[in-house]
Amino acid sequence: MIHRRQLLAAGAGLVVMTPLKIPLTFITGAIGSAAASPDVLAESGLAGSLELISAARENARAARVSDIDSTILIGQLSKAWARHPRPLFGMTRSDVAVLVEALARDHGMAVVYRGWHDHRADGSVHHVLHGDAKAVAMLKRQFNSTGSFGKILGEQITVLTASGGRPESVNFEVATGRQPSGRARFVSWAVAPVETATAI
Amino acid sequence: MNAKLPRGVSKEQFASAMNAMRKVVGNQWVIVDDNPLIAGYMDTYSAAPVSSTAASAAVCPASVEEVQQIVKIAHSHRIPIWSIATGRNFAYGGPAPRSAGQVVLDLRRMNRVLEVNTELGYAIVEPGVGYVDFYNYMQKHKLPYWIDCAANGMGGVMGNTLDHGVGYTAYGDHLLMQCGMEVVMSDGSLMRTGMGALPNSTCFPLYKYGYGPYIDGLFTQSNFGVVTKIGLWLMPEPPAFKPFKVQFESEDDLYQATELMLPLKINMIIPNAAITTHLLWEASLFTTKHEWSSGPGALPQSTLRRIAEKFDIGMWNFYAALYGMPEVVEENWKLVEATFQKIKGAKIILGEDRKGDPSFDYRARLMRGEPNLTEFSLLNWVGGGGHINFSPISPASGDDAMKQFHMIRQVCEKYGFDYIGEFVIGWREQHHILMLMFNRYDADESKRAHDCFAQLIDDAAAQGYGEYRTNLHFMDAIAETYNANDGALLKMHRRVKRALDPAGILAPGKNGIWPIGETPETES
Repeated sequence: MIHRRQLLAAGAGLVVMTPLKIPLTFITGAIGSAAASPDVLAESGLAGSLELISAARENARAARVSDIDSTILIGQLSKAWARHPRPLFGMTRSDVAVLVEALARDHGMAVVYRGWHDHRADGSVHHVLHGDAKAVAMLKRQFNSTGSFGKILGEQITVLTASGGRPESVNFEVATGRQPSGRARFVSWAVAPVETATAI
Repeated sequence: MNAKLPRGVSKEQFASAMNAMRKVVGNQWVIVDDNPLIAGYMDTYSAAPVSSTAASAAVCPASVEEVQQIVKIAHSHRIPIWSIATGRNFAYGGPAPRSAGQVVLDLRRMNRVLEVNTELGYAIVEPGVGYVDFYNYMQKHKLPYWIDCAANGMGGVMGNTLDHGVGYTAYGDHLLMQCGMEVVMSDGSLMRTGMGALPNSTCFPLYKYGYGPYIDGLFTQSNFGVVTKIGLWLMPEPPAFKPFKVQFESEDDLYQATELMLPLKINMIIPNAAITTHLLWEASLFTTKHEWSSGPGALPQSTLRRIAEKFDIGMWNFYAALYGMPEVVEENWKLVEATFQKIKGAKIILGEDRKGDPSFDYRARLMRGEPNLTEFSLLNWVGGGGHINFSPISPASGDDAMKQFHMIRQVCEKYGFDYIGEFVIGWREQHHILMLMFNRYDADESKRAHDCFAQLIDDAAAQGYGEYRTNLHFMDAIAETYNANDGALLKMHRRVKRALDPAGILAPGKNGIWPIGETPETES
């Protein structure tokens, strides 16, 4: 039987599917490479994750869509961040976000952005965004002008992982008229070393 | 500086204390409110506003001597300090202090496994040792012992033990397996309990009781001292290990399953902390609520049945394991199998029957002391990350299990939440753990979760059920339910507090124990 995730990957063409675990090379990469280019991680099967990864490639050090085993991911991040903490942007289920946030604290990193995305039965998407005031206001404007918020988040990863202003929350709905093509309730988030972070 | 200061502490007093602490631990290990890392000390997963428990600062010592100096500074400056080991008891408040403005004393840098004795089977650990650290240490040194971990593999050995946490091997009652304790008192002096008080004794981690009153329990779920070391007994790796699961078709089977299980537990045929878990606890590994309903309220019985059928999950699911010599395990298995076959429709499952099943896999790993994070999948049931645990104790009887199950589910449904619960069966009692999952991005849902929890405390207490552990925001409410004889127990706790910490600087409000003259109302 072909899994829905395989179909999504095949359709996207651009992204690489990695079943069950993230390759260590993705997390560790080349230590000492370009300072603030974030890594980007999207969980397969979420509505918008493929668009996020495609859009993020230009500004990310590495960008992957993948199934995630949280035990393996946290183990790998723990090893990598012990050597070199670096910004990470994610679009995942809630459990992964909670665990990454907790791990980040141990490595001198802070949560700099959180987003909640909830596709409703009427085709609208409810967003709650918390982060740098200018950044989340910009996201709100752009989300309202186009329904593809995965793409917009992907384009803004540098801003969202290196924000430095006053934090604020925005809470709004965007009518799309479409049903999501994937899991419909999930979070996006960003953690960054304190040199670039502002607590939210 | 913008943070809310500790109650009754001036800006100057606070700044002076922070400067003194910086001299002890170094600048980078005193985190104040203009440092983004302070946000990592918030309780972001409970139903109350994070500001209500936001720390004014965090201080991270690296040694017992530094802890002593920090406590002395806190004492002389009258700064309340809230100690955490790793701060990862997420459902109970995480790294946050009881009330806004308290300074977190973060002990995670003290993360050494100080000793593992393979002949006598014990370890001595510092506060910051996490389950993964401990597991890796044992693996690296190829030691013939298992650790016992909580379901939260990111958690810490000492913090969980001091908060009366449990694990899933035969050594799952963590406090029972703790032996010997080192404590920094509120004046900065250092005390060792039990045999540790005798100079030159090597029995600190071997004999709990020493001479005179046995006092280790005073330093658990309390604020009478800062624990900086504990001894732990380790479970030898058994020659045979047989994890199993029994699925039950009906919710009413909980009665018979509990009744039949109790003799197996009391006679130590099943020696580990066995679990009876409800359908939705299991289902959250495979699906989300949103895939079954987009409306408000708890899922109806008809939907629960469909979920059970689709994923081949029992309405209740019993997990336990047998340990020991292979011949003994096989003999005991005959007894276990015969016992559960008495329940109509019970399906007995072994590991080979469920290869690749994440629910069986993570339970089996926990029952052999292998830390993992799979159970966090519960957070995806509704999404949004909000969760608080309601954890009443009851006798391990069928009547009590059914009574608690119905009572708690009724209250959950009144507030629009699904019942997601399990019973952790101890020596003769059971911990009933309700995972109250809510979307923390939804203010109404968060408020309902808070109100639901408050009603659960009252309803449980009216039936004679009390919680064994709780979230920061409900510590006072639960302490007040233990009020027999005009609140004699809480009064005694507060008298001990006054004797051991007259300045009231150690974790004010922990488990309802406030310093004299400081009440929850005045603090808030």
